[in-house]
Amino acid sequence: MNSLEQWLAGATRGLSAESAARIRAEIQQHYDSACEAGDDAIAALGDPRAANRAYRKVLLTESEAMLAPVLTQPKRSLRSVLVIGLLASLWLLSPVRPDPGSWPVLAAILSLTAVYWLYPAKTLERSRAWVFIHGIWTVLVVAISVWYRGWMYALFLGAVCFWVGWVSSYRRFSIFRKLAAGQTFSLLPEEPPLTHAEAMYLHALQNGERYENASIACLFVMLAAGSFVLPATCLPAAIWMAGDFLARRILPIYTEERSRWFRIARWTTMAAAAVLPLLYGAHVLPLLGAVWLASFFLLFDLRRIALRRKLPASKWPQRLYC
Amino acid sequence: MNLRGTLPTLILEAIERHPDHGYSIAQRIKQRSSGVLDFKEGTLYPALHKLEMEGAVESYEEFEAGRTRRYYRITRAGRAELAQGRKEWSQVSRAVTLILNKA
Repeated sequence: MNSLEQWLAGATRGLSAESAARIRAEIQQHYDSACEAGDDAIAALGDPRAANRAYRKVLLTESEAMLAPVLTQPKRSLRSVLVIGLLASLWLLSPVRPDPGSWPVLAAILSLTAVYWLYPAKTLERSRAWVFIHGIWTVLVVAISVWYRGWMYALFLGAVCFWVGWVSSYRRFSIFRKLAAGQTFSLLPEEPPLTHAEAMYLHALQNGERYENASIACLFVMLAAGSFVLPATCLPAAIWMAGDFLARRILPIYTEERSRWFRIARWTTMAAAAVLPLLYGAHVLPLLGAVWLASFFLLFDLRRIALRRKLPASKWPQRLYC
Repeated sequence: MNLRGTLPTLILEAIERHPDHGYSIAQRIKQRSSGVLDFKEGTLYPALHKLEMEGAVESYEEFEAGRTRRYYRITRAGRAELAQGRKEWSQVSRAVTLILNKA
């Protein structure tokens, strides 16, 4: 690989195919002109990582290009309603008894889903409005939580609302802004039987270790914080997650048969962790929280199950085995 | 000298009179500042793309001397942004000069 190719590889890392093609063409023109003028073209271009960081802000990245078709043709998702329902149930079944104050907080949280159903962010203007809506919503949830449940609860909830809501809405706005500037994207080279969402997930499994680790780290932080507030509900889940995370990385499970045994063991331990304490007379309410959390993971695992069913094992990325 | 924050205005100034391509814009900025303003040319294109995203410049491809080049031209919004950039820079430079002359 020559030095221009090395520079381009660094500068286009993680960008969509169309963005990378445009940069390649433009930098090649620049390089040719610089060589004709007798300049040291590569030195003049500077650090490719700095250029890459700047390009990511203004051109579609690979992950944004994958999200773009979903955003431009949004469907009212049953999955999001189920996830919200599970979270609401987890909340209401928590060991801290749902006092009258839980209802206004819950209503404030769920109101956003209702607003999104009525006013989906499918254009630039709407996505810009949603950046503000999420900001206002976070402040509203925090204010109501402070009033009814106290500061600690409100801060924990505010952090989650900010992370989940505002960051995702800003990302959506950024994608629409780039699309409005005339940037294009191509659809994923999908395996024929896969849906777009499955193809996106497969791509993330193949390439997204950084994002996966980041989201697991966030979940850990949330569970660790939750363990202080609701120890009986969140602590078993946090311990189980830590065990699962380590087992996935340490155990040699990358054959079809071993992976099947691993998954059976995984779900058995999760069910046991939820059910066994009941037999020893533990109060049912804290444990129902753990059961709901397990269902939450199962909901995400359904996509992996679909991928395993649709793809031959020879095409499974390493992270699909577990 | 670091151009952070002023590069978009300098780019708009470089293409104010006629459209130009990236390499020429970079060279023009360096030459017109007698080499004082230096920057890594790899950051010029993200700045151009940002201006394009904001609607301050438009780009088009042109076939020239046996190869295709992408040219950038300033828009009406870009001219307004340039005028605003000039005004702000003039105020900042006057304020800094005042402070330094008093020291």
